[in-house]
Amino acid sequence: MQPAEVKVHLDHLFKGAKQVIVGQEEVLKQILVAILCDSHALLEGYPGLAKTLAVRTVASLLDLKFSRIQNTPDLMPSDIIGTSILEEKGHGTREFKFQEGPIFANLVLADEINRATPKTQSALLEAMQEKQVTVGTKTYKLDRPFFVLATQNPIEQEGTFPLPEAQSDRFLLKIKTEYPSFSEEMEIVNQYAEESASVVLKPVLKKDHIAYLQKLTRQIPISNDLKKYVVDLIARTRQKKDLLQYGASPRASIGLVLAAKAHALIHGRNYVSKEDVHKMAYPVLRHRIILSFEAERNNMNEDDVITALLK
Amino acid sequence: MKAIVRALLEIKKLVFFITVLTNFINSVIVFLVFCFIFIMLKIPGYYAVIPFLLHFMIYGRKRIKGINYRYVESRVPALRERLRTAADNWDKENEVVNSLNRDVLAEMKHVKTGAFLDDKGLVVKMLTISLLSIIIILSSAADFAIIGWKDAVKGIDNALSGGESIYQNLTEIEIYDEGDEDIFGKDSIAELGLDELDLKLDTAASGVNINKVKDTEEKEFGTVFPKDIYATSDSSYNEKISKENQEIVKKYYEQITGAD
Repeated sequence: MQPAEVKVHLDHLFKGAKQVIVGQEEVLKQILVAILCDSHALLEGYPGLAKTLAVRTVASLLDLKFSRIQNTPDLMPSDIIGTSILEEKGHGTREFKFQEGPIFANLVLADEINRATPKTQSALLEAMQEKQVTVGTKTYKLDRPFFVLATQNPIEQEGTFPLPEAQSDRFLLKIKTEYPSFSEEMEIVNQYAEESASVVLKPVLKKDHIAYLQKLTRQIPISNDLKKYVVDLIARTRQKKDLLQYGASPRASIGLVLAAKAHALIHGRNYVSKEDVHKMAYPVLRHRIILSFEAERNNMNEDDVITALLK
Repeated sequence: MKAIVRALLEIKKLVFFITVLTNFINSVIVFLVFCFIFIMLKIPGYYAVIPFLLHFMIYGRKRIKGINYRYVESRVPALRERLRTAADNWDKENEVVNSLNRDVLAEMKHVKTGAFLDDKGLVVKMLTISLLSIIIILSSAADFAIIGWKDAVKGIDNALSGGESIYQNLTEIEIYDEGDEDIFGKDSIAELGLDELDLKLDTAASGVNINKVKDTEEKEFGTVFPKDIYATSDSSYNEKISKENQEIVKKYYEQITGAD
């Protein structure tokens, strides 16, 4: 399949998503980028900006096993991973049987991840990294493809456990959901405040398709100039001490190249352009850098610093 | 060899030739400018070959080094970013790379040599070359020069030393060379006539100490012949004459010479 043909299929997916979500096109694209890169995404935005709906919609459009974990402070690792239960067998015998947790799915929505305790977060993040879980002495491989789309909101920080930088680095992208425009909000009001028939979405992509698209994503060629540009950009995050306290790791370089490839594929291109790198630099870098006091004093946020780095 | 590799080599060769040609034209302009300046300064025009060669080599090296696919892309926007990507990934074999190579090859078929030539710049350069050539021909034909370099050097030397310079004599000699009818100069400038000149030596002003002046010494010069010059008798003169006959001949000669 050629990238141009892939675009037709993906446009069909976006068209389906638009039936449910008004606006948020960039959010949907970035979620798909994370899926094409066989990685995970963290969605951050104020409550009511359709973060969870976006993930649920994508899950409906992909023919994958979907599960949702609502993170709370009392959530235990076993609630996510699963636990061994004693099962009654015939002839009066009993046997431990592993009861799979919600992590055993292809697409996991970890809602409000920052509400879970660090212990539970760690269990989830370990599964994300290794794509397997260990219970007792037994290791269970997770089904592929495996994506975790986590959400968190930047307010209501009381009683939350913000993700440490080392753990948030495991997410390929940190996707910001923005407020809709006036016309979009009007459409949302019209769509959801009135009685209307519920939309039933048909899956557009199957497991095999996703695996094929992931393979195709890695095949998208990129020029050496652009690779150097990406590495230089990431290196600058470590050198710009006036704006950044800590820069991004080499994992960010890999992530940015891969995300740029996926972005190119979504747009039906058979090569990576500088525009892809620029577009993906924000979600790839914003959770991997720590602003300096000077930058914060100047009311700069992560995106402002990335903009300055891209100039 | 893959089609894309052949196409890339071809396009690089084309750009190389155009770069060399453009550089040559620029160097010709440099040559003509310097040629004109040198003619104006009465310096032989062929010295302009030096700046020509310098420009051709220095800028040529720089321009040839600058030949890359980015330059080609800047001239052919349809290939932007794709050409570089295809060039960097020519050794890979998968469906995406193959489709990119096909697209690039298709676009390259539409690339014309003219895309790499700066039409306006070329016209301006050609006009400049024509104009400079005409100016040089006319100024040479009219023997027009702003300044003679010898005069200029003399002027500079005079200004520095504040007096006459060694070059003055050279200039005077040159005047005689230029066809004056008499080596003694014009009559109007110097006429001695028959007036008696009363010349006196001012001993006080001279640097000669009379007290130290001595009579001229007579030197004896011995005759020293080179060693390799000597006389020898020839064997043909050693005739076998008897002593009686020798006496007769001796007496005969003494008698005719009147010797006692």
